[in-house]
Amino acid sequence: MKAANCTAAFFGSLLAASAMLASGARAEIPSSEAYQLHCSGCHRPDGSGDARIVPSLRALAPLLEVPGGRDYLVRVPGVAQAPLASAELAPLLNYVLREIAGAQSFVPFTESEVESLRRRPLRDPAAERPAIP
Amino acid sequence: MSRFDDGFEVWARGLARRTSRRSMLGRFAAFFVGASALPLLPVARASADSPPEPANPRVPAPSESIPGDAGDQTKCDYWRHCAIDGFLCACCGGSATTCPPGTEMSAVTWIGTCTNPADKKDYVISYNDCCGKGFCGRCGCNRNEGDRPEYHWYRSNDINWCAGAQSQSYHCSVALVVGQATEPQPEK
Repeated sequence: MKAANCTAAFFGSLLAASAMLASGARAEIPSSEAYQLHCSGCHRPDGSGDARIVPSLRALAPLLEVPGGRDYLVRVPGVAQAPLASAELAPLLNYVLREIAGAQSFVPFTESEVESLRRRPLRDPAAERPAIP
Repeated sequence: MSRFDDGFEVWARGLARRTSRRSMLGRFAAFFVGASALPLLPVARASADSPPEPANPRVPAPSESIPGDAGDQTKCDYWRHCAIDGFLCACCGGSATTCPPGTEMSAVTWIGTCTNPADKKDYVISYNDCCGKGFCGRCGCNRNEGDRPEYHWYRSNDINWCAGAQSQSYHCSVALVVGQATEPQPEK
């Protein structure tokens, strides 16, 4: 872990490279396990959520195709404020989109993209959602 | 009035001649035994023989094939109770993984990890509340390994997780093993 951090710091200007290295530091934890531990308690193991209090994750794929949707996926509180480093959060988000939401082809989120977006968490995601087609 | 008294006396004396206190006791006994045997009648058996209800898709499927999974699930120090806060369902008519009859398992819950002393491995545990009845009141257990304050709400065992059930009345808690963990949860 320390070696990975030092390497990432050394190549700090190369964001893509540092993202790969930082992700590699946590690669031992499968995203399926991270989903269990950080998401499934509320969104449930299959991502279907609860009709009354927890939104489903199974219909997220269309958001990737519309303006503002990609940003919204990271800026919602559950993602933006998750107690995870962006290097862990990006592969977890990609896992949810691919395995839970069934998104077939999309540009995977990178650590730097997640890091940038989560700095601007949504204050009222329910109010912002209708603005996204 | 005296004719009424005389008539009643004749009836009472006749009753005393025809019956005994022992027969009275016998009839009482027959009544109570009969009442207690009602659940054994075919009606009750028919419901017991019906196929088990399908697994509730709202809750995680427990993975219980754990080598060396030994311990008393009615005890607070049972390994998978490492972060439970409430009454153990195993003492309330259910088990460490099933809700007592008449209660519903909340689908929304919190997830943590516990170390199984038998194999020294960490397992992902889902702490689901059983809801729909008042407090069980037996086997209260408050262990907080990895528990966080309410501001970190999805790792907090102080929340009434019955919010995800039809009834918000908390009865007891179960601890489902949903998988093996690569490492203890980050908060430990």
